[in-house]
Amino acid sequence: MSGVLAIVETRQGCLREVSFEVVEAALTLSRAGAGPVTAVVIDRAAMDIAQRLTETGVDEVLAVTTPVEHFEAHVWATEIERLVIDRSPLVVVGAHTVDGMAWAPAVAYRAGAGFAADVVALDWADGALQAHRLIQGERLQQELTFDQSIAVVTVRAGAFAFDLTNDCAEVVVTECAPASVDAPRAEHLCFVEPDSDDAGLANADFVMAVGRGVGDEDGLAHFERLSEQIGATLAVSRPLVDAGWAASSRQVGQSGQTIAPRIYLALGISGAVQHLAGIRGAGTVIAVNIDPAAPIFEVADVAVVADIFEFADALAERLA
Amino acid sequence: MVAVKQVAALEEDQLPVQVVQSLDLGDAALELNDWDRYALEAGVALAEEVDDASVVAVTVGPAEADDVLVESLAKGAERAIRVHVDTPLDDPFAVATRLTAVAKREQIDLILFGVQAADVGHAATGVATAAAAGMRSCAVVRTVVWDGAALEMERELEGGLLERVRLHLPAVVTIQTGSNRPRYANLRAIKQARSKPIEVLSESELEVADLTRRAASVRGLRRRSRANLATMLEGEVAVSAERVADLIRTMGAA
Repeated sequence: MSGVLAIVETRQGCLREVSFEVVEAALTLSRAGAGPVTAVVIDRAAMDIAQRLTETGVDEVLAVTTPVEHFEAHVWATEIERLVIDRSPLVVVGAHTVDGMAWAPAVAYRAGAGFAADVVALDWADGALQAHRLIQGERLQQELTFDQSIAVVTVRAGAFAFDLTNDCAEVVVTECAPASVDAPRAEHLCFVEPDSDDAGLANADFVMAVGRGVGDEDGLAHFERLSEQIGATLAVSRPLVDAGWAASSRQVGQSGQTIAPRIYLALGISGAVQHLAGIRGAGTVIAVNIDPAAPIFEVADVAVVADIFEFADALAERLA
Repeated sequence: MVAVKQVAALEEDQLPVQVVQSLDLGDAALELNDWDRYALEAGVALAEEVDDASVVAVTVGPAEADDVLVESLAKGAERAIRVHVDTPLDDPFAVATRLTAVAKREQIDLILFGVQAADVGHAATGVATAAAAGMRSCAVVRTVVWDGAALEMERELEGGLLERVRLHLPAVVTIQTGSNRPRYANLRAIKQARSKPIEVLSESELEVADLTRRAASVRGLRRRSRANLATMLEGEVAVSAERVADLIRTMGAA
């Protein structure tokens, strides 16, 4: 038993960028002695997509060409399980994404493998895998080990940075016929593109984002007025959209928009990882929160511990 | 079947200072997992629309977990089952084997889960249960509608993209927050729910396939080391506001 399978992610005929992070996680294990890395592309256009992985430092690139046009959990899981049986890898690495959540636990369960999701660090020592992940609102780090001889892990986006400038030897892509002759179990009907950028967040220079700290719908309205006063475009974190107080076009985060304003002023946002995923490219992050332990303070350039209403009113007085 | 979990929300001062192997939940506030509220609502709403459909709320937990079942009954579940374990189970595969045994016993067609548990967050228990039970699955779903022969759903992909899919039963679906407006159970409904029976099953009477199955072992838990690179402003709000206003003006945004 040896080696690491890096299962990359595709969507609508393209490689998703998180795939490089999956490769990096696999390479981390390989460098520590887990064996060679095989990058696996499962897609109808697998051969084309696989070309993007040939110089990433992996030892092999496998293109599994499926007849299925879109990701389907059962088809992907069947292909990966076949590879696990054929190649006996020590670790299978995927991304902790919506697709990853659909195949990884199923593959792990059926293969009798160990499993950990949303992993932020991986170690390989003495022939054994250790996975690190965060629980209890990102405040505690869990160190996991596995009893089984094979483990499936999914990595958090942003946790394993891939260096695209690294010069690596090119490998050839091997095409692989699909294992699965079963029909997909879920039938793809269509995609629905997200709402247009009605809120104007995509190109906004100065964004003021609010979260649960606003308390209620009236609180949100108060901040909406303030954002107009100070000339900022208003954004919200997910809980306010879930509660029905704000339109999804204002949502910033993993399932909303990813933006990169010069100034991002976050008020009453705790800094859940799904929200932070939406502002990785932001310039100056100013975070205001009553809780000095709010995770957002770790990514902020300026951290203000204060009541957000008091602070925002004081700020608006000075800027308006 | 709607699978619900009672999660513990620890306050800052309840978090362990040293490295520990397990958490002492002590006086931690216990509540129904946020995602599961949406799953429960989706289940109850479906049962209201479809003839001959009803919700059985199921949890794997110690006696305290009955509270989330009472809440589920108050919100429209017809029955409730708890698989008894002495201490809360966080491992997704350990929970999956136990839930699968219940699903088989109850001859369940559809199991709804919340996408993930707020405390541990693997987002895996639902899909693992589907694998254990030999059911189809669809994860991270927003809307679920029964069209008479199958479920029509929207998967919530990254960046706000949605994918509409159709899935036949038997199936497991994991529900995302914000999918619906979970109904509120008033005190009267809770009181009435308390008088309804909760079926408590032991692992042995359920004939759970593999009681030792687990995804991983927790070797240690410790406070996360925080990289604090920010300029921290505490104290007088007027002073902080002035400094931030200055910064914003300097950057030419105001």
